[in-house]
Amino acid sequence: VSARAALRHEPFASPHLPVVSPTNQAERPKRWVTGVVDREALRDVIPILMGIAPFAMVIGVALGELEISQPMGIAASALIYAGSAQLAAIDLLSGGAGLITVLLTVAVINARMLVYGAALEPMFRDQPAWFRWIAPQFIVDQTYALVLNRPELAHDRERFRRYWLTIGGAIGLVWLGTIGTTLSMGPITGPQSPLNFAPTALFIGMLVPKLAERRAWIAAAGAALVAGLASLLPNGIGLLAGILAGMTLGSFGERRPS
Amino acid sequence: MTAFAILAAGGAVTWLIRVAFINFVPSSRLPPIARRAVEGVGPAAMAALIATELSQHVQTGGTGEPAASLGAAVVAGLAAWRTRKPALTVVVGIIVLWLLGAVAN
Repeated sequence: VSARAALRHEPFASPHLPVVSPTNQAERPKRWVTGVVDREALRDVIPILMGIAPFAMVIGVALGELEISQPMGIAASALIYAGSAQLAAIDLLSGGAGLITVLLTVAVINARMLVYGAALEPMFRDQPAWFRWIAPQFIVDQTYALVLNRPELAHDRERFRRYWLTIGGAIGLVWLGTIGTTLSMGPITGPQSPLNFAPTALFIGMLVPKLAERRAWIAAAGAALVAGLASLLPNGIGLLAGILAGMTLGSFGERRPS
Repeated sequence: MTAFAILAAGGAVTWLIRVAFINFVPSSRLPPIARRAVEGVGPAAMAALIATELSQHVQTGGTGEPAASLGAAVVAGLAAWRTRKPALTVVVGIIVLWLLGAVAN
């Protein structure tokens, strides 16, 4: 689920939500269950959860191919906590790539999180230290998109903290739970199983809707061409070269008038 | 180095990226050109991964008949264009690949 797709969900733009600020505490939405879970956040995140579960299953299938144990697979997924980058890393590891290539690829794919972090920084400012250091782990496309649609959170530190932990916790629970469940089934694909096609099909499903934008089209065409031509290079260098070429071409594409 | 250790190292790199403009560098320091470049990484990464994986499938027969992989990719692309649903695209791609493989054999 892309950030843009997440933004399309109507419930996130409720016109009835009161603007919350430190000065109108009486209008604050009621806490739910333990005072930790934010009901508005839970309502916002439910459609997202249905979208991420299939992606998590694909990650689980791919991790199974690496023959990694279930606890290790869940731990690795919690640490990297970024689907596309994790799938790329697994793909590279399956092909025998080394540490440096994997790290560079992960860094390039996740570089967009620099932008997300910069945009969210005002909401993390003046928060407790534990929150500033640990809670950014929940920064993903979906959480970023949800918070963008809740500008009132910028005015209430406590409400943002509760909202962020609710959406992050829910996504993490479903994400890691689904990966763990899929991993518990053991390797479920053979060497020539059609299920091995799942990651490729998932990337096609994520890419194609973005191609309506000229800049995305140029970036994708450049990346595919270079990665395809360089796919015979060892250690996943072709993949990294393709991503960098696409990024560069996409930047040029935006500067030209369309 | 084990797969877990490399994935964990990838997690450490990703965490540094996440907290960089929250705890280390003022967010105003991110120049617009860098902002534009990293915003465009999504389509580039997806396309490079698709090209790499299809190339591997064709070279190694990792999902059966090479032509079947290419055909399934085309049909999956059409399904993605029409439905804009990644999960449905996965289901369509796998089914088409299975069908094309069965026909080829």
